[in-house]
Amino acid sequence: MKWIIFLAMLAGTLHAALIRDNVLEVVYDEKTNLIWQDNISVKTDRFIWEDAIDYCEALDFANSQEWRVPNINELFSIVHMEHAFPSINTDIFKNIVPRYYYWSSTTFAGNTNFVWNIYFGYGHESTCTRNHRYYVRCVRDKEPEAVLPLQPSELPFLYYYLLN
Amino acid sequence: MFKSIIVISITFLFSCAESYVLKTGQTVEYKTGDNGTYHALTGVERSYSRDNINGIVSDHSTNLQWQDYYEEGKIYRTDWTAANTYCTKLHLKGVGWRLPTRYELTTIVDYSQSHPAINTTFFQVTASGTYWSSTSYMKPESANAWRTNFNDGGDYVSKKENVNFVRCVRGAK
Repeated sequence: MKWIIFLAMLAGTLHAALIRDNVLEVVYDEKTNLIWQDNISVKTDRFIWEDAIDYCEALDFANSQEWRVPNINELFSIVHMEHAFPSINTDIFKNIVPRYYYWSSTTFAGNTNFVWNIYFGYGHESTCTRNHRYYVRCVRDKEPEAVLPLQPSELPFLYYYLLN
Repeated sequence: MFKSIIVISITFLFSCAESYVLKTGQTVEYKTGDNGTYHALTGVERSYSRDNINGIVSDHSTNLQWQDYYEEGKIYRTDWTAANTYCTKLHLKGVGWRLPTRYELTTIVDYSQSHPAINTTFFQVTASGTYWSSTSYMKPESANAWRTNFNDGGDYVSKKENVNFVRCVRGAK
C-alpha cells in the first residue's frame, strides 16, 4: 500500500506545477499560486505602459475582475530557462509572441521614466521608457479553496488505494 | 477510513506549497494598479541578517547564505569557468560554496534601488557591474552563461570567456 501513497504524492508534486484551463484560457501555476491570462489578447494587443496597467485593472475575464499587470518577479517566474524564442513553456502557454517584450508593473528605480519588461525571446529582464507599445499578460492570485485541492491526475491513485 | 484521511492530508500538504515569488522591493506607487499599489498584497518579504565577523549575508526567505567578504577587499572578477572553481574552493566560515544559479542571483536584486540594485544595509560589498550565474544559456554546453547587472538589476547572457564579478552562495538549492 505504501507505494500507492508514494505515487499519489508524486503525482501531486511533479505533475501539476502548471495547469492550463482550456475553457477559461488561463494557466494556473501551483508553485506561485498565480493564475495567468492565456487568451488571444496576450499576443494581439499592444499597449503603452499606462494603458497596459489600465487594461489589466479593468479586465473582466475568466470569471474574474481581479487582474493586474505582473510585477517583474512574477513575470520572471514563468520564464523557462531551457527554452528560447519563446522562453516559456509552450506546452502550457498557448499564446505568446516569441520575439517581443511583455510589460511588468515594476518601475526602474534608477530612472522612473523607465519600466521593467521581459523579452520572451531570450527571457531576459530589461528596462525601457513607458511610451513603448508592448504586450501584456495579466495575472491574479488564486483565491483560497474551500474544497480539497486534489488534481484530476491524483484521483485514480486515491480511488485505487481506497478500493483496496 | 483512517488510511484515506492520511492520503488526503498528505496530498493537501503537498498541494499547498508556499508562494515562492519574492517582493520586488518597490513600495512607491507611480500609477494606480502598478507594483507599488499591490506591494503589500503580493509576494514573500525578504528577511536578511548579516554575520559581520565573517562577511556572510543570510537570506531567511530563501535559506541561502551569500558571500559578502573578499580577500583584501578586492571583489573577485574572472571568467565563468574560473568563477565556478573559485566558489567551490572558497573557505569562508567553512566550505560548501558554489556559483549561484540565475534564479538565485535574481532573488537578491532589490528593484527599489539602483547602482547597486541590492539592499546595501546587508550587502555591504557590491561592485557596480555584472555578476556571473552558474546557469548556461539554454544548454550546459553553451558558450554563453547568464549574468546579472547590479547597476540596474537586469540580466543578460555573456560569453563564458568574458570577465564578470563573482558572489558565491551556499545552502538550499
